[in-house]
Amino acid sequence: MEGTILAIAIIFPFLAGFICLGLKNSKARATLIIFTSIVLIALSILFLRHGAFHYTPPAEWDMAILVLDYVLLAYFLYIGIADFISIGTNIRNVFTIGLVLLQGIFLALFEFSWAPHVPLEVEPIFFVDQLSIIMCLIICIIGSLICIYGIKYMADHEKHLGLGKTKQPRFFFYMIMFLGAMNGLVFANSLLWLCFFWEVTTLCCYALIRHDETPEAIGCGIRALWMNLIGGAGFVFAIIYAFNRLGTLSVAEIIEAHGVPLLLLPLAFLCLAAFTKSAQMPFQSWLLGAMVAPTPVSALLHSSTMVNAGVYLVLRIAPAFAGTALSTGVAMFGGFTFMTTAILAISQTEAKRVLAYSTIGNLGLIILCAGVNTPLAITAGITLLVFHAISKGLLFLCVGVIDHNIWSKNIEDMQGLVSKLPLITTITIAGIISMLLAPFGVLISKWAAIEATGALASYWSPVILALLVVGSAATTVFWIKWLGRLLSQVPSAARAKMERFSPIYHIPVLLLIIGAIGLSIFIAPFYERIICPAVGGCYTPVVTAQNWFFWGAIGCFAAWPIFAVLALALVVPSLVIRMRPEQVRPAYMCGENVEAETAEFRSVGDERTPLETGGFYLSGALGEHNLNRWFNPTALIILIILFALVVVA
Amino acid sequence: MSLWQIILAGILAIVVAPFIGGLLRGVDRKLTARMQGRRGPPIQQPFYDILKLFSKQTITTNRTQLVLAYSYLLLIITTLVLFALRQDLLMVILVLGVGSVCLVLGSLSVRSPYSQFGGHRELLQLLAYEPILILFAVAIYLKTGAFFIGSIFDQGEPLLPSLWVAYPALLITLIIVMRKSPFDISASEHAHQEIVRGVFTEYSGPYLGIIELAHWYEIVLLLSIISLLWVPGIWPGVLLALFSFFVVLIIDNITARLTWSWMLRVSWFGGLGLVILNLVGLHFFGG
Amino acid sequence: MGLITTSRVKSPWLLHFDCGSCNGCDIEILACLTPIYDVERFGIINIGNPKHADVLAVTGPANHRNYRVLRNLYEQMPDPKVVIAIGTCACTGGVFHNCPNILGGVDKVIPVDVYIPGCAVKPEAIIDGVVLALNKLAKVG
Repeated sequence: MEGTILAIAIIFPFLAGFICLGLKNSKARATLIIFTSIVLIALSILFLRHGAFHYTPPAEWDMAILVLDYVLLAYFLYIGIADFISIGTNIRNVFTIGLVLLQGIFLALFEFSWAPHVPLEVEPIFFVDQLSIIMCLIICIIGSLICIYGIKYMADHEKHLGLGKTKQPRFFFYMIMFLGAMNGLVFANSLLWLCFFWEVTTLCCYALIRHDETPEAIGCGIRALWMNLIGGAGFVFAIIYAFNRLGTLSVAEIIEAHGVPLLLLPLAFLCLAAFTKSAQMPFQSWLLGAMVAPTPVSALLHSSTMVNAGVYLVLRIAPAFAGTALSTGVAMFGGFTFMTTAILAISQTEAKRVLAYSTIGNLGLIILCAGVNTPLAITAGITLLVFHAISKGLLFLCVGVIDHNIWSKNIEDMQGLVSKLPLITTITIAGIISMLLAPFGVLISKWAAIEATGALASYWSPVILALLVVGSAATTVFWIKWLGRLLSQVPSAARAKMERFSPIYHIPVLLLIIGAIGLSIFIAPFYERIICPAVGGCYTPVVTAQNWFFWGAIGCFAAWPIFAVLALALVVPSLVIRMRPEQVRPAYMCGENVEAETAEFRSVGDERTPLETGGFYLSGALGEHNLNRWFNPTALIILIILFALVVVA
Repeated sequence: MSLWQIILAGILAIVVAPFIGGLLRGVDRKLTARMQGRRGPPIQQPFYDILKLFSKQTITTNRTQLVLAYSYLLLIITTLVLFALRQDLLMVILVLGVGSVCLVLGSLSVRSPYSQFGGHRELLQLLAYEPILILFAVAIYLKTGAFFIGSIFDQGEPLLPSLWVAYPALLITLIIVMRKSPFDISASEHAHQEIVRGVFTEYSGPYLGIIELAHWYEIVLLLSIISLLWVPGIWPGVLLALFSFFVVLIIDNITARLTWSWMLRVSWFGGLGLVILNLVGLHFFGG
Repeated sequence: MGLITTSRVKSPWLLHFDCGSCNGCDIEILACLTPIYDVERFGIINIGNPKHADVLAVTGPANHRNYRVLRNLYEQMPDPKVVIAIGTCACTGGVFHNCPNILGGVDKVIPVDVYIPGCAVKPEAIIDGVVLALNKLAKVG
């Protein structure tokens, strides 16, 4: 039974993807997607009820994975060579080919000459524990909702582009196959299998980013490919060193070997792989470039699922490097990414780039929690993982709906959207609030992270704290700026009329926001039943849930009373307060207003001039071109120091 | 805490605090006038102001700013109540952030040039002082072992001798929150400034009164946080808070307004730097 | 007087609008704010925003251009409010009475409650006028 549900969770999406590739009829495709979604959601809940277990499939699968790994590497090599043939020598194909060769040669050396037998067997192959189950829930539930949303989104997208021949079969092939690969990744215990699924997600990422096949998309796809291949190479080196020093490739055994001094180097390489997958500084450019892909791709891969693979890996191996210099280095690296991306996001005018920077920042925060490596910090990290996935996926979907209504992703074009598209704008506003304000889940995790970092008994803790709080304040600035643009209305007493309800667009979004709000209100029981066992796997939990408050060891967050206040402060006034038309006055424009309900004033020669307001972007002081030349090298230096510490110590 | 203490704390926070806040504002205007060689208004002037505002006709530009004015007030009152109930100081500071955000959103929801400017500048003010407050809470944790305000009282030792390096940072925060020169960037008490009344431009009548009331609560909250620095017995802390208030008034009268980039520079490199120095010191010399 | 009426009288916030004046009366108004006269002790603040103001102090005559601005500002002030016309030009048009571009005094555009003649008006007269306006405000309540 355990093998069966594992097999369905991993293989069924691959099969469904292949079937999808062949289906020409869009209704049949939609039915298949919805069917797959239902199966996956049911399966993930089944995993939750079942609990932890481990399983090893028959030995033929080891050989299959070995072969498929090389097939994948060969395909990557082909991509690099094809790109070289089409545009000549360029940093992107040189890196691609070089990294694939590096990875391939060392992997072959390891598997065929250094390993005791071919293929190398690891017991157990799959290790399902509470952390994997949480990731599986995120992948299956949020991933399925995004795929369903993608049905209508891609149809509208192709109609807008005026495409003759539909590319949707290929699109959904990669999207659904990706869900299976992620399931495999989070359940895998053998580093070889993990590496394989890791590279499959890289493949899906590359294929989906270049989906629209414009020169820009192709370029961004290859950039994502070679940056993720750096991580792949790191993975291979981690495998070689881990086997060399510990004699095992089982993640569970590596974690238990905490304290072995020579263990840190393979762990550092695994962290490098995680950093590239999660697009931390200085690798953030691939994720920003990936925003050219259609929005469901951004929602699925680049906010709630694929980039979570990186932080999942760091959280999983965190117990192995607790209390070492590597841990402090990882925390510093995560904190630096969090602060710098928060500051860089202030100057962005395109909504998807703001969301991308915010994603990278929050992932940096989770990595910071893993680096701080105390039970409270790990609790904060896992909680943030869950709530961030929900809220960020939600926000990307909302931006997609807005984009398909006003055909622009620029924040300046979203001015006053609350009067034109009230439903989706209100959900977007709720989504932004859930990312940012007390007492929602993301903020409670940030609170816990601050308390955990403050409690860290290390001389570096003040520096890490400084990065954390500056980043946290900067996130407030860019979110509220965007929120302000959405809310900025022309003076009027009229109530906005709700736009047409589109089930496939609005229902996934509504489900996600209800999930975000509900889980935040009930965070204490949610923590107790679902997150606490995940922390308890390798640490002694310190957070308890009395009275449904969130009690840490050293502080307490009264979540539901503040929700009650928020309901009283926001919801009740918005239902109760009425405004009469005779109470409307124009905005103050020094007396030169034309009429109350327009945003125009009289200028030179009594000419009616429209009022133009805009947000602060501070691109002079805080623009990318200014800051990146300081931030990128510094991040690289921190990374080099990290490795130096590991090699020397 | 017993039921009696909870009720007393609630009454203190909800009913008594605005009176204290209003009187402080009155003292502020009187002392400022005296420093400028004038007579100045009577100390109970803010109460006349607020009653007048509540009696005016309600006019507005849209419904959102009305809703958000109420949100601002209720959230600031909540913050003060949580403080009075001696809850987690970090949580109090984060909820204070929610209230301030409501004020910003209320002003950004109007398409008016001055309102937009004021709202964005208010965001920059938030960016300037919130890190200082959060790190101050961590500094208190390092001294007392928990983030609860109650644990400061249980400890029975004054915090100022170990946290004196961070005290100027708290003064900077107080200047920004009280909207005094040199950091009265988003709105100013004195008219004829380049963005009219900034954040408050489009509010009028009763809703301006609500915001003024919330501002009184906010001042009392900040002064209470400062008074935590000398807790055994109430009076030393209160005197410290009033002394800080007086220092802010003097600084207000001898400086002119600076730009937002100066504010960020002073708060981050000056204020935040001092608090981090304090934290490092606490790590080295034992918490 | 009731508490509300007392508050209204003790806290009049002033909006000062120059409607075409030569600035002579404006300088005298600003002189009232200086330490010599110090009107802040009566609770008067010179607020630059009509939405916050109770008293509109206008100088200068109304002409074809600025009558629009004047009415706009008057309408953005919430009730109860009073208008003070300061200076002879604001009262009747003064020296500019009957000029082609001038409509006349301010009362051609908005209802005026107190007229303070003078060219330029003395600060003491302005304060007397404001006190008269406050009495009117008390009666309005």
